[in-house]
Order: sequence, then structure tokens, then C-alpha cells
Amino acid sequence: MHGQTATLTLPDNLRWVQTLKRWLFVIFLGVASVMAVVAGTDVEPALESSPANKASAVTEQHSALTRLEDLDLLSQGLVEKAGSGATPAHNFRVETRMYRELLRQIMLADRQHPTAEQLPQDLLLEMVRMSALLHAAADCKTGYMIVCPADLMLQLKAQQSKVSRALLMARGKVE
Amino acid sequence: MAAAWQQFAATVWQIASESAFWVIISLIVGGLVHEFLPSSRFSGLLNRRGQGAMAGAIAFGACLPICSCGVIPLAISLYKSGIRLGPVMAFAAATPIINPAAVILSLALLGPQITIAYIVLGLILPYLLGLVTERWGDRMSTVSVGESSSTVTTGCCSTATSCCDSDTAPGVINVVPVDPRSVGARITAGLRWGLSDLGPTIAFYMLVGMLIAGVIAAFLPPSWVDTYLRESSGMALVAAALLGASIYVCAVAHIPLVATLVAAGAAPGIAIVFLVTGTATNLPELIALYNTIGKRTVILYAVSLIIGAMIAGVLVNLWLLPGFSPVFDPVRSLDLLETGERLQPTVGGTLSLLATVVLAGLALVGVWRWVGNLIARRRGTSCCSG
Repeated sequence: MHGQTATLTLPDNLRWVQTLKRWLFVIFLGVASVMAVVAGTDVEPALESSPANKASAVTEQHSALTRLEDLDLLSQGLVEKAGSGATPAHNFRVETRMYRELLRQIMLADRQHPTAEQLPQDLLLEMVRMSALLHAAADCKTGYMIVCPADLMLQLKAQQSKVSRALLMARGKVE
Repeated sequence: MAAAWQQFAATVWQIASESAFWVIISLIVGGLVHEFLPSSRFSGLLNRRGQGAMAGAIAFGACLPICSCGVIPLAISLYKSGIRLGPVMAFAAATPIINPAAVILSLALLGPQITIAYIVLGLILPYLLGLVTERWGDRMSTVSVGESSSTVTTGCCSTATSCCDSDTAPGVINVVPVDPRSVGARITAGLRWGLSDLGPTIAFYMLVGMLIAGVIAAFLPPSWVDTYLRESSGMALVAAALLGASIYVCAVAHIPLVATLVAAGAAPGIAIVFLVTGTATNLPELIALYNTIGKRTVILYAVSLIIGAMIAGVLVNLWLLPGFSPVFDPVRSLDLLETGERLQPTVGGTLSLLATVVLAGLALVGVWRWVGNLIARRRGTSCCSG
């Protein structure tokens, strides 16, 4: 009987403590959010106008461009492989998918920046077309090997040089 | 000269390996269609007078991810099963032009306006081709399969014991009583018809078409696409239509190629003409249809297709030029490209090689039979020579 009362009172105490904890947590969250909003509105314009922030935006764009240049190197290699006639179709397909996924990651990351600091749309569109052409090349397989028809090969090379040129222009603008 | 030979061999091999798997599948399905369709209700629907059959054939064809070579056996087996010429030709045209993967790719790379034009043309043109070929194409002495459930229609060359596979007058229909065999026996008979009767004939004509396409590819400069598709003159329109109709073009593979040219300033109308004529027809298909369905039908089909596509090209240019540039969201385009890739079934290397070997074997049998028929005809002993 004695034990029973003890078991009945203890949960009540615990509930009270838990409720208090919850309220404290909610109040803390509320205060923190208000502080963050106030701090954000106060600080953002100051940061945007500060030379340090501009420099960071340029650095980020530099790094995005560097990643695109790496992708450009990948596509150059793929174009060469498509023309060689000795590339296993499976490997080529995997690398083509990798190109597309890396490009998607770069574009999604780029979207989080303000419009003025984003990568040039023309450049991204050219790279999307490059990705589509590489996929078309991945479908041109004879048995296990990639063998591209001459017209597609010509377009691949032309598109590759277009992408490289667009990258050079984008790099020139940033610098 | 060595480069030309290399290009010739590469083109023949490419067409064969890309289409072989679908041709074999189409032969199998075609055999089953030939065995089961005449006695089913579906044949009544396809033979129904009016436009419903044509619309149904186009809708069915638009859902299949098959290129123009792969559709030949299925179209011929439909024809040999007694289906009206109009729906058969509409099906043969619609299947390679429109498929889900091609539409999504077009939306991703060419933008919504060209895609709308492509879909509209891909639906209207097969319909018109069906009407024209049915009205003026080769006559088939059909007995409507829907009229009597106790009869089925089969072509002269439909049985395994037929001695005249390739040189029979096409479309001659005999009426035979329904064979009350088991389903298994009918499946075996269908497969035998598809792979043993129809297969060698189709593979032989496809081989002839592939060899001619290889010769054209060997002597055509690779820059011709770049040269003709960049212009917007009437001559360029004609060249794009004629070249598109003669070479092997797969919509899914060629949309990215056309998209880069349109982005570089090519006229959208010419891009549409090339895509539609290129995907709807090619030499292996035309030669196979010419020898199995009928000369007049195929000439009408090709001429109507080229003229129709050219008119559509002019209309698209009037609509979108000057100043057209496809604008789209790069991330969305990548997502659509991925979706298109998922919708396009890819055939593994081993399967593709195996199918190519089977197709080559069928073509050899076809050559053997053709030579045999030729010798028999010279001697005047062919059962069909009279």
C-alpha cells in the first residue's frame, strides 16, 4: 500500500518537471528565433555592402567555376573516348551520369546565392546540352563498345569547344 | 577510300546493333499478333470503319519506345493479319516519331514551343498518311475478319510450308477455317510464322536497306547536318527532308544533336522536318515495306511524309521566326533528361550482340531463299510464278 502511494506521486512530480522543461525550451526557441531575425535584418545589409562579403561571393563563384572547369575536363575526356571506338559502353554511361549529377549539384548550390552572384545561365545551358549529347553518345554502342556516328561526333566536338569558350568568358568576367 | 569503307561498315553495324533487339521482339510479337489477332475482338476494332481505328493505332504506336526499324515486323504482321492499310501505316509512322522519352527530351532541350509542334505533327502526320495510303494505296483483297468468327485471314506466305516467301503478290488473302488448337500450339505456330516465315524476308530487305544506308553514309560528308540544318531556305528544307528520310535517325539520339543546332541559330522548322522525316522512315524500313506491303503504298507514304513535313516546317518557321531561341531552366532540363533516360529502355551489350547475330542469321536465310526463288523462277518452277 505504501509502495503504491510512492509510485502514484512520483510520476506527477516528473510530469511537472517535464512540462517546465518543455515550456523553457519553447521560450528559449522563441527568444532565439526573434534574436536571429533581428540580428539578420540588422547584419545582412551591413554584410552585403561590406567588401569582405563581396570578396567571399567572388571566391564562391571562383570555386563554382573551378568545379565547372573540372567538369569541362571530364567532358573533354569523354568526347575523346567517344571518338576512340574502344571505350566500354558501361563505363562511358557511368561517367556520363557522373557528369550530369555533378553539374546538377553545382547548379543547385549556385541557386542559393543571390541572382547577381550566380553563374551565367548561358554557360549552364551549354553544359546541359553537352550532357544531353554525351547521353546520346552513350546510346551509340555496338555491342560492348561506344561507336559514335560521324555527325554526332562532329556536334560533340563543336559543343565541347563552345563550353570551353563559355567557361573562359565566365572566368574573364569574374576576374 | 579506307575511311569511306570504315564509315560504311560502322553505319551498317550501328543500324543492325541498335535495331536488332527490337526487330526480334517485334517479330515475336508480330507472330503472336498474326496468330491471335484475326480471331480476337481487337481486330474488329482496328478494322472498324471511320477514324477511331486510325486514332487508336496512332495512340498505341505513340506509347511504344520502338524506332522505325523495330516497327516493321509488327506493322507487316498487322497487315498480314487483315488489318486495314490506313491504321497499319498510321501505326508504322506514329510509333517511331512520338514516344514518351522523345517528347520529354524535346521538352528538356528544345523548349515547349517546338515540343508542341513536334507532338502535333507527330499525331497529325501519321493520321494523314493513314488516310492517303488507305485511299490511294495498294488494294488488299480483304475479307473483313470481324464479319465471321469462324474464319481467319492469312497471307499467301503465312504458312511454314509456303514455297514463296518474298515474291508473292502482297496482300493476297486466303480464308481458312479456324484451327481449334491449344493455346500452346498456337503460340508455337505464331512464333514459327514470325521468326521462320516473316523474319528471313524482313531481315533480307533490312540488310539491303542497311547496305544502301551505309553507302550513303560513306559518301555523305559528316558536316551535312551542320550545313543544311543551319539554313532556313527552301532548298535546306528539301535537303533536310530527303536526307532525313534516307538515313537512320532515332528520335531519342538525335534530339540533343538538333537541340545544339537550334541553340546555335538553326531554323526550328528545319529541325522539325529533319526529326520527323528522319524518325518516321529510313531505307531499311522503306525497302522492307516496299517489298511486303506494296510499291504504290510505300511511294505514297514516303512522298506524303516528305511533303507533309516540309509544309509543317514552313508553318513552324512562320510561327517561331525571327528571333526564336529556346529558353528553359537548366536544372529542370537536367531533371527531364534523367526522366527521359529512365523511360528509354536500354539493351545490354550481350543481348544486343545476340540479337544482331540472330538478325544476321535470319538475313542469311532470307538471302538463301531469295536466291532459291530466283533460280526457281528462272526455271519456271515456282508455285507463284504464274
